[in-house]
Amino acid sequence: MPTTPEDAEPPPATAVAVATPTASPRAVPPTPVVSYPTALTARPLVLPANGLEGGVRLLTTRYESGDDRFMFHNLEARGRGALGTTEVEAALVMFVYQQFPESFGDVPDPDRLQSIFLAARHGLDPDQTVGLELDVAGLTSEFTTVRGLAVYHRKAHLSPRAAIDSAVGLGYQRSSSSQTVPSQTWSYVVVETRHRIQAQLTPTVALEGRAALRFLRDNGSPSEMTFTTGSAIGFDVGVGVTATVAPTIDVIAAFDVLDGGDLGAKLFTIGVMTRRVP
Amino acid sequence: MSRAVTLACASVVAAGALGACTAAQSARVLAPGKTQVSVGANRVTATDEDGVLWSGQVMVRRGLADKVDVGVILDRTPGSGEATSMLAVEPKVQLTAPGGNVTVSLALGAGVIWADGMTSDGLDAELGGYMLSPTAFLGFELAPGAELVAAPRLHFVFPDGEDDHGTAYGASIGVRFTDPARTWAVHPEVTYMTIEDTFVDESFLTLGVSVSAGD
Repeated sequence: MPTTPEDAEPPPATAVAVATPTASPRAVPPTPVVSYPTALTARPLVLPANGLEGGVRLLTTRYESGDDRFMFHNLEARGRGALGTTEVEAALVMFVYQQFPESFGDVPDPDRLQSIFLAARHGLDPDQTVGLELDVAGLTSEFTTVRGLAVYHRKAHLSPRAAIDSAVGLGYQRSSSSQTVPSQTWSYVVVETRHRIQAQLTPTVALEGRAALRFLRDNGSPSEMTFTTGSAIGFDVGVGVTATVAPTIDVIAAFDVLDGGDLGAKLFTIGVMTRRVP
Repeated sequence: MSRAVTLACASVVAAGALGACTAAQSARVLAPGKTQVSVGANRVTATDEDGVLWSGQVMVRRGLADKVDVGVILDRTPGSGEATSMLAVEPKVQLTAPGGNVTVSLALGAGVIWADGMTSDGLDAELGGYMLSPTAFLGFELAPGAELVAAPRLHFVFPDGEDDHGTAYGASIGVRFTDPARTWAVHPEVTYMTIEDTFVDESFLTLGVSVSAGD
Protein backbone atom coordinates (compact mmCIF):
# COMPACT_ATOMS: atom_id res chain seq x y z
CA MET A 1 0.00 0.00 0.00
CA PRO A 2 1.46 3.39 -0.90
CA THR A 3 2.32 5.44 2.12
CA THR A 4 3.70 8.57 0.50
CA PRO A 5 2.86 10.48 -2.69
CA GLU A 6 6.10 9.21 -4.21
CA ASP A 7 5.01 5.61 -3.65
CA ALA A 8 1.67 6.11 -5.35
CA GLU A 9 1.15 4.60 -8.77
CA PRO A 10 0.98 7.15 -11.62
CA PRO A 11 -2.44 7.68 -13.15
CA PRO A 12 -3.19 5.73 -16.36
CA ALA A 13 -2.22 7.58 -19.52
CA THR A 14 -5.53 6.86 -21.16
CA ALA A 15 -8.75 7.81 -19.57
CA VAL A 16 -10.98 4.82 -19.02
CA ALA A 17 -14.68 5.32 -18.82
CA VAL A 18 -16.10 3.81 -15.71
CA ALA A 19 -19.59 3.77 -14.44
CA THR A 20 -20.05 6.37 -11.80
CA PRO A 21 -22.58 5.36 -9.19
CA THR A 22 -25.30 7.90 -8.83
CA ALA A 23 -25.70 9.16 -5.34
CA SER A 24 -28.99 8.10 -3.86
CA PRO A 25 -30.99 10.99 -2.42
CA ARG A 26 -31.35 8.92 0.74
CA ALA A 27 -27.65 8.25 1.12
CA VAL A 28 -25.94 9.72 4.15
CA PRO A 29 -22.25 10.33 4.50
CA PRO A 30 -20.55 7.49 6.34
CA THR A 31 -19.97 8.09 10.01
CA PRO A 32 -16.26 7.97 10.76
CA VAL A 33 -15.47 5.04 13.00
CA VAL A 34 -13.34 6.19 15.91
CA SER A 35 -12.17 3.40 18.13
CA TYR A 36 -11.77 3.93 21.86
CA PRO A 37 -8.19 5.04 22.48
CA THR A 38 -5.71 2.61 23.92
CA ALA A 39 -3.61 5.38 25.43
CA LEU A 40 -4.86 6.49 28.84
CA THR A 41 -4.00 10.09 28.06
CA ALA A 42 -6.16 10.07 24.93
CA ARG A 43 -9.25 8.57 26.53
CA PRO A 44 -12.27 10.78 27.10
CA LEU A 45 -13.71 11.19 30.57
CA VAL A 46 -17.01 9.56 29.68
CA LEU A 47 -17.45 6.28 27.87
CA PRO A 48 -18.99 6.38 24.40
CA ALA A 49 -22.76 5.90 24.33
CA ASN A 50 -23.73 2.33 25.28
CA GLY A 51 -20.20 1.62 26.48
CA LEU A 52 -19.61 -0.51 29.53
CA GLU A 53 -16.57 -0.83 31.77
CA GLY A 54 -16.07 -2.99 34.81
CA GLY A 55 -13.51 -4.74 36.88
CA VAL A 56 -12.17 -5.73 40.25
CA ARG A 57 -9.43 -4.29 42.40
CA LEU A 58 -7.69 -5.62 45.48
CA LEU A 59 -7.24 -2.77 47.96
CA THR A 60 -4.71 -3.30 50.71
CA THR A 61 -4.46 -0.63 53.38
CA ARG A 62 -1.38 -0.85 55.55
CA TYR A 63 -0.93 1.04 58.81
CA GLU A 64 2.29 1.35 60.74
CA SER A 65 2.60 2.26 64.39
CA GLY A 66 6.11 1.87 65.75
CA ASP A 67 7.15 -1.67 64.90
CA ASP A 68 3.56 -2.85 64.52
CA ARG A 69 2.01 -3.40 61.09
CA PHE A 70 -1.70 -3.70 60.41
CA MET A 71 -3.12 -4.67 57.04
CA PHE A 72 -6.67 -4.75 55.74
CA HIS A 73 -7.46 -6.39 52.42
CA ASN A 74 -10.64 -5.44 50.61
CA LEU A 75 -12.01 -6.39 47.22
CA GLU A 76 -13.73 -3.78 45.11
CA ALA A 77 -16.08 -4.46 42.21
CA ARG A 78 -16.57 -1.38 40.06
CA GLY A 79 -18.51 -0.73 36.90
CA ARG A 80 -19.80 2.12 34.79
CA GLY A 81 -21.99 2.43 31.76
CA ALA A 82 -22.98 5.21 29.40
CA LEU A 83 -26.49 5.92 28.24
CA GLY A 84 -26.21 8.64 25.65
CA THR A 85 -24.32 11.45 27.30
CA THR A 86 -25.14 10.24 30.80
CA GLU A 87 -22.90 7.86 32.65
CA VAL A 88 -23.64 5.90 35.79
CA GLU A 89 -21.03 4.24 37.99
CA ALA A 90 -21.24 1.92 40.97
CA ALA A 91 -18.71 0.25 43.23
CA LEU A 92 -18.93 -2.16 46.10
CA VAL A 93 -16.08 -2.76 48.56
CA MET A 94 -16.05 -6.02 50.50
CA PHE A 95 -13.78 -6.97 53.37
CA VAL A 96 -11.59 -10.00 52.63
CA TYR A 97 -8.88 -10.41 55.24
CA GLN A 98 -7.00 -8.55 57.95
CA GLN A 99 -3.59 -8.97 59.56
CA PHE A 100 -2.68 -7.81 63.07
CA PRO A 101 0.50 -8.32 65.11
CA GLU A 102 0.39 -11.54 67.12
CA SER A 103 0.38 -9.57 70.34
CA PHE A 104 -3.13 -8.36 69.50
CA GLY A 105 -4.55 -11.90 69.67
CA ASP A 106 -7.73 -12.65 67.76
CA VAL A 107 -9.29 -9.49 66.45
CA PRO A 108 -12.87 -9.86 65.22
CA ASP A 109 -13.35 -9.25 61.51
CA PRO A 110 -15.13 -6.06 60.47
CA ASP A 111 -18.38 -6.20 58.54
CA ARG A 112 -18.15 -7.84 55.15
CA LEU A 113 -19.73 -4.88 53.36
CA GLN A 114 -17.35 -1.96 53.73
CA SER A 115 -18.68 0.69 51.39
CA ILE A 116 -20.92 1.50 48.45
CA PHE A 117 -20.26 4.12 45.82
CA LEU A 118 -22.81 5.45 43.32
CA ALA A 119 -22.38 8.21 40.76
CA ALA A 120 -24.30 9.73 37.88
CA ARG A 121 -22.70 12.16 35.46
CA HIS A 122 -23.81 14.19 32.51
CA GLY A 123 -21.24 14.73 29.83
CA LEU A 124 -21.16 18.35 28.72
CA ASP A 125 -18.69 17.07 26.18
CA PRO A 126 -16.52 13.93 26.16
CA ASP A 127 -14.01 15.56 28.52
CA GLN A 128 -16.23 17.56 30.80
CA THR A 129 -18.90 16.31 33.17
CA VAL A 130 -21.12 17.44 35.99
CA GLY A 131 -22.54 14.87 38.32
CA LEU A 132 -23.43 13.58 41.72
CA GLU A 133 -21.51 11.09 43.83
CA LEU A 134 -22.71 9.20 46.87
CA ASP A 135 -20.33 7.29 49.11
CA VAL A 136 -21.60 5.22 52.02
CA ALA A 137 -19.11 3.57 54.37
CA GLY A 138 -19.94 1.32 57.29
CA LEU A 139 -23.50 0.80 56.18
CA THR A 140 -23.92 -2.28 58.33
CA SER A 141 -21.62 -1.24 61.14
CA GLU A 142 -22.08 0.91 64.23
CA PHE A 143 -20.19 3.78 62.63
CA THR A 144 -21.65 4.99 59.35
CA THR A 145 -20.48 7.79 57.09
CA VAL A 146 -22.54 9.09 54.18
CA ARG A 147 -21.04 11.61 51.81
CA GLY A 148 -22.68 13.26 48.83
CA LEU A 149 -20.82 15.48 46.40
CA ALA A 150 -21.75 17.52 43.37
CA VAL A 151 -18.73 17.20 41.12
CA TYR A 152 -17.44 19.09 38.10
CA HIS A 153 -14.86 17.03 36.27
CA ARG A 154 -12.64 18.00 33.36
CA LYS A 155 -9.85 16.33 31.47
CA ALA A 156 -7.33 18.38 29.49
CA HIS A 157 -5.39 16.55 26.78
CA LEU A 158 -2.20 18.54 26.80
CA SER A 159 -0.53 16.45 24.12
CA PRO A 160 -0.96 12.92 22.73
CA ARG A 161 1.14 11.72 25.66
CA ALA A 162 0.12 13.98 28.53
CA ALA A 163 -3.16 14.82 30.22
CA ILE A 164 -4.48 16.33 33.41
CA ASP A 165 -7.70 15.04 34.86
CA SER A 166 -9.14 17.39 37.50
CA ALA A 167 -12.30 17.40 39.56
CA VAL A 168 -13.76 19.72 42.13
CA GLY A 169 -16.62 18.71 44.40
CA LEU A 170 -18.87 20.39 46.92
CA GLY A 171 -21.07 18.44 49.24
CA TYR A 172 -22.08 17.22 52.63
CA GLN A 173 -20.84 14.46 54.92
CA ARG A 174 -22.79 12.99 57.78
CA SER A 175 -21.37 10.50 60.23
CA SER A 176 -23.22 8.67 62.97
CA SER A 177 -22.22 6.36 65.74
CA SER A 178 -24.51 3.96 67.52
CA GLN A 179 -21.65 2.86 69.78
CA THR A 180 -22.41 5.74 72.10
CA VAL A 181 -25.52 6.15 74.24
CA PRO A 182 -27.32 8.12 73.06
CA SER A 183 -26.18 7.70 69.48
CA GLN A 184 -24.41 10.72 68.07
CA THR A 185 -24.33 12.39 64.72
CA TRP A 186 -22.10 15.06 63.27
CA SER A 187 -21.83 16.63 59.87
CA TYR A 188 -19.47 18.50 57.61
CA VAL A 189 -19.54 20.64 54.52
CA VAL A 190 -16.99 19.13 52.15
CA VAL A 191 -14.96 20.84 49.44
CA GLU A 192 -12.67 18.54 47.53
CA THR A 193 -10.28 18.77 44.58
CA ARG A 194 -8.66 15.79 42.86
CA HIS A 195 -5.98 15.89 40.22
CA ARG A 196 -4.46 13.15 38.10
CA ILE A 197 -1.34 13.89 36.12
CA GLN A 198 -1.10 11.33 33.30
CA ALA A 199 2.04 10.50 31.32
CA GLN A 200 1.89 8.00 28.48
CA LEU A 201 5.28 6.28 28.60
CA THR A 202 4.58 3.88 25.74
CA PRO A 203 1.48 3.36 23.60
CA THR A 204 0.18 0.89 26.18
CA VAL A 205 1.72 1.95 29.49
CA ALA A 206 0.84 5.12 31.35
CA LEU A 207 1.97 6.53 34.67
CA GLU A 208 -0.24 8.67 36.83
CA GLY A 209 0.59 11.00 39.69
CA ARG A 210 -2.42 11.96 41.74
CA ALA A 211 -3.24 14.25 44.60
CA ALA A 212 -6.44 15.10 46.42
CA LEU A 213 -7.06 17.95 48.81
CA ARG A 214 -10.26 18.24 50.79
CA PHE A 215 -11.61 20.58 53.42
CA LEU A 216 -14.21 19.38 55.89
CA ARG A 217 -15.92 22.20 57.69
CA ASP A 218 -17.51 21.12 60.93
CA ASN A 219 -21.19 21.83 60.67
CA GLY A 220 -22.02 21.34 64.32
CA SER A 221 -20.97 18.37 66.40
CA PRO A 222 -22.26 17.12 69.74
CA SER A 223 -20.46 18.88 72.56
CA GLU A 224 -20.22 15.69 74.60
CA MET A 225 -18.15 13.90 71.96
CA THR A 226 -15.82 11.41 73.50
CA PHE A 227 -13.16 12.03 70.85
CA THR A 228 -11.90 15.01 68.94
CA THR A 229 -13.84 16.22 65.99
CA GLY A 230 -13.97 19.45 64.08
CA SER A 231 -12.95 20.93 60.78
CA ALA A 232 -10.07 19.30 58.99
CA ILE A 233 -7.94 19.42 55.89
CA GLY A 234 -7.21 16.11 54.20
CA PHE A 235 -4.51 15.48 51.65
CA ASP A 236 -3.42 12.31 49.94
CA VAL A 237 -0.98 11.66 47.16
CA GLY A 238 0.01 8.67 45.07
CA VAL A 239 1.33 7.20 41.87
CA GLY A 240 -0.16 4.53 39.65
CA VAL A 241 0.50 2.63 36.45
CA THR A 242 -2.02 1.49 33.86
CA ALA A 243 -0.96 -1.18 31.36
CA THR A 244 -3.29 -1.91 28.47
CA VAL A 245 -2.60 -5.60 27.96
CA ALA A 246 -5.30 -6.02 25.31
CA PRO A 247 -7.40 -3.46 23.44
CA THR A 248 -10.19 -3.77 26.00
CA ILE A 249 -8.29 -4.81 29.12
CA ASP A 250 -6.27 -2.68 31.54
CA VAL A 251 -4.14 -3.93 34.40
CA ILE A 252 -3.65 -1.30 37.06
CA ALA A 253 -1.38 -0.94 40.07
CA ALA A 254 -1.14 2.02 42.39
CA PHE A 255 0.35 3.24 45.61
CA ASP A 256 -1.24 6.04 47.61
CA VAL A 257 -0.16 7.66 50.86
CA LEU A 258 -3.23 8.33 52.96
CA ASP A 259 -1.36 9.41 56.07
CA GLY A 260 2.29 10.36 56.10
CA GLY A 261 2.77 10.76 59.85
CA ASP A 262 2.43 8.58 62.90
CA LEU A 263 -0.42 6.55 61.44
CA GLY A 264 1.56 5.76 58.30
CA ALA A 265 -1.39 4.66 56.19
CA LYS A 266 -0.67 3.47 52.68
CA LEU A 267 -3.05 2.06 50.10
CA PHE A 268 -1.81 -0.53 47.61
CA THR A 269 -4.08 -1.28 44.67
CA ILE A 270 -3.91 -3.91 41.96
CA GLY A 271 -6.72 -4.69 39.62
CA VAL A 272 -8.02 -5.37 36.17
CA MET A 273 -10.62 -3.44 34.20
CA THR A 274 -12.30 -4.48 30.99
CA ARG A 275 -14.69 -2.61 28.73
CA ARG A 276 -17.01 -2.99 25.83
CA VAL A 277 -17.42 0.05 23.68
CA PRO A 278 -19.48 0.26 20.49
CA MET B 1 -7.55 30.79 71.45
CA SER B 2 -5.96 27.54 72.42
CA ARG B 3 -3.19 26.42 70.17
CA ALA B 4 -3.14 22.68 69.88
CA VAL B 5 -0.99 22.86 66.80
CA THR B 6 2.37 24.24 67.74
CA LEU B 7 5.62 23.94 65.90
CA ALA B 8 8.76 24.10 67.99
CA CYS B 9 11.75 25.70 66.34
CA ALA B 10 13.34 22.33 65.75
CA SER B 11 10.16 21.10 64.14
CA VAL B 12 10.00 24.16 61.92
CA VAL B 13 13.52 23.60 60.74
CA ALA B 14 12.87 19.92 60.23
CA ALA B 15 9.59 20.62 58.44
CA GLY B 16 11.32 23.15 56.27
CA ALA B 17 14.00 20.64 55.44
CA LEU B 18 11.33 18.09 54.54
CA GLY B 19 10.07 20.55 52.00
CA ALA B 20 13.56 20.72 50.59
CA CYS B 21 13.88 16.97 50.30
CA THR B 22 13.05 16.90 46.63
CA ALA B 23 13.95 18.78 43.46
CA ALA B 24 11.79 16.89 40.95
CA GLN B 25 12.41 19.08 37.94
CA SER B 26 14.61 19.40 34.91
CA ALA B 27 17.67 21.60 34.95
CA ARG B 28 16.27 23.10 31.74
CA VAL B 29 13.72 25.83 32.11
CA LEU B 30 10.37 25.56 30.36
CA ALA B 31 9.93 27.44 27.10
CA PRO B 32 7.99 30.71 27.38
CA GLY B 33 4.28 30.07 27.75
CA LYS B 34 4.65 26.37 28.49
CA THR B 35 3.13 25.02 31.69
CA GLN B 36 3.90 21.80 33.50
CA VAL B 37 2.14 20.27 36.49
CA SER B 38 3.82 17.64 38.69
CA VAL B 39 2.68 15.41 41.50
CA GLY B 40 5.19 13.52 43.61
CA ALA B 41 5.39 11.27 46.65
CA ASN B 42 8.45 11.22 48.90
CA ARG B 43 9.56 8.83 51.61
CA VAL B 44 11.72 10.62 54.18
CA THR B 45 13.82 8.86 56.80
CA ALA B 46 15.91 10.47 59.49
CA THR B 47 19.21 8.63 59.25
CA ASP B 48 19.66 8.12 63.00
CA GLU B 49 16.04 7.27 63.81
CA ASP B 50 13.65 4.52 62.79
CA GLY B 51 10.75 6.77 61.92
CA VAL B 52 9.54 7.30 58.38
CA LEU B 53 7.61 10.29 57.14
CA TRP B 54 5.92 10.78 53.82
CA SER B 55 5.34 14.00 52.01
CA GLY B 56 3.40 14.83 48.90
CA GLN B 57 4.30 17.55 46.47
CA VAL B 58 2.30 19.41 43.86
CA MET B 59 4.25 21.76 41.61
CA VAL B 60 3.12 24.01 38.78
CA ARG B 61 5.83 25.57 36.61
CA ARG B 62 5.52 28.01 33.74
CA GLY B 63 8.06 29.37 31.32
CA LEU B 64 8.31 33.14 31.48
CA ALA B 65 11.18 33.93 29.11
CA ASP B 66 13.80 32.11 27.06
CA LYS B 67 15.87 31.30 30.13
CA VAL B 68 13.47 31.88 33.01
CA ASP B 69 10.65 29.84 34.45
CA VAL B 70 8.87 29.96 37.79
CA GLY B 71 7.27 27.31 39.95
CA VAL B 72 4.71 27.28 42.72
CA ILE B 73 5.29 24.34 45.06
CA LEU B 74 3.10 22.87 47.76
CA ASP B 75 4.64 20.25 50.07
CA ARG B 76 2.42 18.63 52.66
CA THR B 77 2.38 15.54 54.82
CA PRO B 78 -0.58 13.43 53.71
CA GLY B 79 -3.45 12.66 56.04
CA SER B 80 -6.40 14.29 57.75
CA GLY B 81 -4.77 14.93 61.09
CA GLU B 82 -2.04 17.34 62.05
CA ALA B 83 0.09 18.16 59.05
CA THR B 84 3.04 20.34 58.17
CA SER B 85 3.05 22.21 54.89
CA MET B 86 5.29 24.41 52.85
CA LEU B 87 4.18 26.71 50.04
CA ALA B 88 6.94 28.24 47.98
CA VAL B 89 7.58 30.24 44.84
CA GLU B 90 10.71 29.27 42.96
CA PRO B 91 12.02 31.24 39.98
CA LYS B 92 14.75 29.50 38.00
CA VAL B 93 17.27 30.98 35.57
CA GLN B 94 19.14 28.87 33.03
CA LEU B 95 22.75 29.92 32.71
CA THR B 96 23.72 27.76 29.73
CA ALA B 97 22.47 28.01 26.18
CA PRO B 98 19.40 25.95 25.32
CA GLY B 99 19.99 22.74 23.41
CA GLY B 100 23.28 21.69 24.95
CA ASN B 101 23.99 18.34 26.54
CA VAL B 102 24.85 20.03 29.82
CA THR B 103 22.51 22.49 31.49
CA VAL B 104 23.23 24.68 34.49
CA SER B 105 20.50 26.64 36.22
CA LEU B 106 20.06 28.53 39.46
CA ALA B 107 16.82 28.70 41.41
CA LEU B 108 15.75 30.53 44.53
CA GLY B 109 12.79 29.18 46.42
CA ALA B 110 11.05 31.38 48.98
CA GLY B 111 8.11 30.26 51.01
CA VAL B 112 6.16 29.85 54.19
CA ILE B 113 5.90 26.88 56.55
CA TRP B 114 2.88 26.14 58.69
CA ALA B 115 1.15 23.39 60.62
CA ASP B 116 -2.56 22.74 60.81
CA GLY B 117 -4.77 20.14 62.35
CA MET B 118 -8.08 19.24 63.82
CA THR B 119 -8.78 20.33 67.38
CA SER B 120 -11.83 20.35 69.60
CA ASP B 121 -12.18 24.03 68.72
CA GLY B 122 -12.13 23.39 65.00
CA LEU B 123 -9.40 23.75 62.46
CA ASP B 124 -6.29 25.25 63.96
CA ALA B 125 -3.24 26.51 62.13
CA GLU B 126 0.11 27.79 63.32
CA LEU B 127 2.62 29.74 61.27
CA GLY B 128 5.95 27.98 61.59
CA GLY B 129 8.25 30.29 59.74
CA TYR B 130 9.74 31.16 56.41
CA MET B 131 12.28 29.53 54.12
CA LEU B 132 14.77 30.46 51.45
CA SER B 133 16.28 27.76 49.31
CA PRO B 134 18.96 28.59 46.72
CA THR B 135 19.52 25.58 44.47
CA ALA B 136 21.87 24.82 41.59
CA PHE B 137 20.51 22.47 38.94
CA LEU B 138 23.01 20.53 36.84
CA GLY B 139 21.51 18.55 33.99
CA PHE B 140 23.35 16.02 31.85
CA GLU B 141 21.62 14.47 28.85
CA LEU B 142 22.38 10.78 29.15
CA ALA B 143 20.35 9.87 26.10
CA PRO B 144 17.47 11.44 24.20
CA GLY B 145 14.69 11.62 26.77
CA ALA B 146 16.87 10.86 29.80
CA GLU B 147 18.43 13.65 31.85
CA LEU B 148 20.57 13.13 34.92
CA VAL B 149 19.71 15.98 37.30
CA ALA B 150 21.92 16.86 40.26
CA ALA B 151 20.65 19.62 42.53
CA PRO B 152 22.87 20.75 45.41
CA ARG B 153 21.07 23.21 47.65
CA LEU B 154 21.16 25.29 50.78
CA HIS B 155 18.01 25.65 52.79
CA PHE B 156 17.52 28.45 55.29
CA VAL B 157 14.58 28.25 57.66
CA PHE B 158 13.54 31.23 59.78
CA PRO B 159 11.23 30.15 62.62
CA ASP B 160 8.51 32.69 63.31
CA GLY B 161 9.40 34.96 66.23
CA GLU B 162 13.03 33.83 66.43
CA ASP B 163 16.11 35.87 65.66
CA ASP B 164 18.19 32.87 64.69
CA HIS B 165 17.67 30.61 61.71
CA GLY B 166 18.33 27.01 60.81
CA THR B 167 20.42 25.88 57.87
CA ALA B 168 20.22 22.65 55.96
CA TYR B 169 22.38 21.59 53.07
CA GLY B 170 22.48 18.64 50.77
CA ALA B 171 21.69 17.52 47.26
CA SER B 172 19.23 15.64 45.12
CA ILE B 173 20.19 13.36 42.28
CA GLY B 174 17.75 11.76 39.93
CA VAL B 175 17.01 10.84 36.33
CA ARG B 176 14.27 12.59 34.46
CA PHE B 177 12.65 10.56 31.71
CA THR B 178 10.71 12.62 29.21
CA ASP B 179 9.70 12.89 25.56
CA PRO B 180 11.30 15.24 23.01
CA ALA B 181 8.47 17.76 23.39
CA ARG B 182 8.75 17.57 27.19
CA THR B 183 5.01 17.12 27.54
CA TRP B 184 5.43 14.44 30.20
CA ALA B 185 8.13 13.35 32.61
CA VAL B 186 8.81 10.76 35.27
CA HIS B 187 11.46 11.69 37.77
CA PRO B 188 12.76 9.26 40.42
CA GLU B 189 15.38 10.76 42.69
CA VAL B 190 17.22 10.46 45.98
CA THR B 191 18.03 13.39 48.29
CA TYR B 192 20.34 13.69 51.26
CA MET B 193 19.96 16.74 53.51
CA THR B 194 21.80 17.60 56.74
CA ILE B 195 20.87 20.14 59.38
CA GLU B 196 23.50 21.18 61.91
CA ASP B 197 22.63 24.19 64.01
CA THR B 198 21.30 25.28 67.34
CA PHE B 199 17.78 24.00 66.70
CA VAL B 200 18.34 20.51 65.41
CA ASP B 201 21.13 18.16 64.36
CA GLU B 202 19.71 15.71 61.92
CA SER B 203 20.12 14.16 58.47
CA PHE B 204 17.38 13.02 56.13
CA LEU B 205 17.41 10.56 53.26
CA THR B 206 14.54 10.90 50.81
CA LEU B 207 13.39 8.61 48.04
CA GLY B 208 10.88 10.20 45.74
CA VAL B 209 9.17 9.94 42.42
CA SER B 210 7.13 12.50 40.54
CA VAL B 211 5.01 12.46 37.41
CA SER B 212 4.67 15.57 35.25
CA ALA B 213 2.42 16.59 32.39
CA GLY B 214 2.34 19.77 30.39
CA ASP B 215 1.52 21.39 27.10
